[in-house]
Amino acid sequence: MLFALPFPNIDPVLVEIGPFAIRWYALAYVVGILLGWRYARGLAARGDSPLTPLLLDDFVTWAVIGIVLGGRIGYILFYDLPHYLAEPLQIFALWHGGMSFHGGLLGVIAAMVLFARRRKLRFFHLADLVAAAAPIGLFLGRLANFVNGELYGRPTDLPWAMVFPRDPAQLPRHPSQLYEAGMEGILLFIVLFIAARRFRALRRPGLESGLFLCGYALCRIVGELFREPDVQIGFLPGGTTMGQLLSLPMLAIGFAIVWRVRRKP
Amino acid sequence: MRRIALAGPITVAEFMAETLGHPVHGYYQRRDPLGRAGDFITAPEISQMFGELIGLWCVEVWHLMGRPDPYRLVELGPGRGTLMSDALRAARIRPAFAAAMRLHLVETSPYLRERQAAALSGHHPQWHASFAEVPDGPMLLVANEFFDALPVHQFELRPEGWRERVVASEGDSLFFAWTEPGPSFALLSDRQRRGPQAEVSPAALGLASEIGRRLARCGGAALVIDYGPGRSLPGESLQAVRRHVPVDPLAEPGEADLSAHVDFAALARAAEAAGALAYGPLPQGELLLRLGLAARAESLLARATPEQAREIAAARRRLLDAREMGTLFKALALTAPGLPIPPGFAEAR
Repeated sequence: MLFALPFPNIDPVLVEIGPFAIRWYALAYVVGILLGWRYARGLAARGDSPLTPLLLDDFVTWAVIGIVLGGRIGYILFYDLPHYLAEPLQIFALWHGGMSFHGGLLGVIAAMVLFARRRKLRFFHLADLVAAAAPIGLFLGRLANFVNGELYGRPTDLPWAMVFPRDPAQLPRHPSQLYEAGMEGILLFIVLFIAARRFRALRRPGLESGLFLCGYALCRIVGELFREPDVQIGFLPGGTTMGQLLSLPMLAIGFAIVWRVRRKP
Repeated sequence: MRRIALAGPITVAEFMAETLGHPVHGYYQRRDPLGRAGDFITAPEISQMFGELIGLWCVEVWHLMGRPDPYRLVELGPGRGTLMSDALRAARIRPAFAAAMRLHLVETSPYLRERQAAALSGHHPQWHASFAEVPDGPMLLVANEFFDALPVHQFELRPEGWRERVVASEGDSLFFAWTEPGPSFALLSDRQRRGPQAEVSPAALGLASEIGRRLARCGGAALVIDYGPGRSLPGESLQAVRRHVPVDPLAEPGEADLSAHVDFAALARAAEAAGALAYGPLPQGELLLRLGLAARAESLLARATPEQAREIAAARRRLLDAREMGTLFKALALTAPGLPIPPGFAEAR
């Protein structure tokens, strides 16, 4: 306690206009999607992918619906089903938080499958651009988790440990949201950026998507080692967590995709 | 298309640009226009021989250029990628040609881009929305039935003087009307101004000049194949084709392919003014014969089944015959100054 860094107590509510409060968390989604869209547009304009920037403009709406519906449904199913069965109206209380990355991922995949089928595009041409841009949103989302003081880390005596206001035990903990922002956000973005720009990965459909799945899964599995498991679930057998369990199939599928692309000319 | 009702009449050129290229309702944005099931058919879709001979032409010009490595192989409006895929198959006789190649495709339709990605997946093409986006460097450029879709302005010498043709609307129907000529009128040649009708495409002239400038600066050659007269002629040539049948251009905007004859003489002048050399235009049939179509057809026939043999003979006839594509279609070559005469174009200066 003595050596803990003070938690930078930023108000989760950015501005309040009458009954409407704009939270950092909501802002992270909005800015993440906008920046990701602009970035994917820029990549498309470079011409390694046959997709046109105009197509991405059309896809943004689909992506938003996929992220929000998938993220919410995923959270309810994976993390807190009994609670929402008891109080179904809480499903719509988005402002209480509770979005699942893995659910959002499945939602976006569904949106991409439908959009690609409707516009007669190859799925991976779309998925590769979305994958390259996704770490931007993940980075902002993890920063928002930190501002909210939620999804904090396990107790530690490291010099940069901090006490989170919402922690009932009031112990010094890892700011694991920042570790995750660094890995799932910055590190993953750089890896995918170098693959796309230096190695022109977008010319090989599936490569960027496969790298994203592998990279995210690895970052998440490592990140979870420092993160306190969700209260309502706790540790799974063997000291693993739900986030790690959900990342294993991602890792396997990502690896299979990269393997398949590598074998082609 | 609601635009006319709201903002008043538009020029024929604006009408062409909107109906063909509009991002949502435009003709090329929504469908695959090519082939038997589509609205029209192009030479590379008739027979692999067409693309193969163009591929060999490119290999030979690349040798004349001094085998630059890397060089840019550019195709404007590659359709389904058939021409380029046939050309690159034939070019495999010179592995160094493919190794030095950087493939650039100019295409705005997302649907056709996907088809090209599938047809040319091993060659790693780079797509661009316009020729201006293609990076500098020595280049070989192919444009087959690309210039005919570029918008034209139409003028007519009427009792009250020169007027420009516009598209106006009343209720749900569109009709042609006349207004004061716009600035494109200045691009008409003296010959065209003898009237009574004239047509000019600032977009096509601008592109030819851009290609000419690029060739003069970076080296290389371009092959433009399209339909149109060898000399600038008076008259109007806007036509709409749907399911292989000519239709009224104003009947169903965005549902039919619109095109106009290409004024080869004007393209050649624009490219030469920008510093390139122009050869031709030659009738397409003559160029294909000079490049060895007859021999290619014989060698295909030698190992063809009877049914394939009939198809090859029919394709040869369509590509060469004066009444089919042989003379209506023409080929124009543009080269950097200092490059020897490109194959097939001897005595065509």
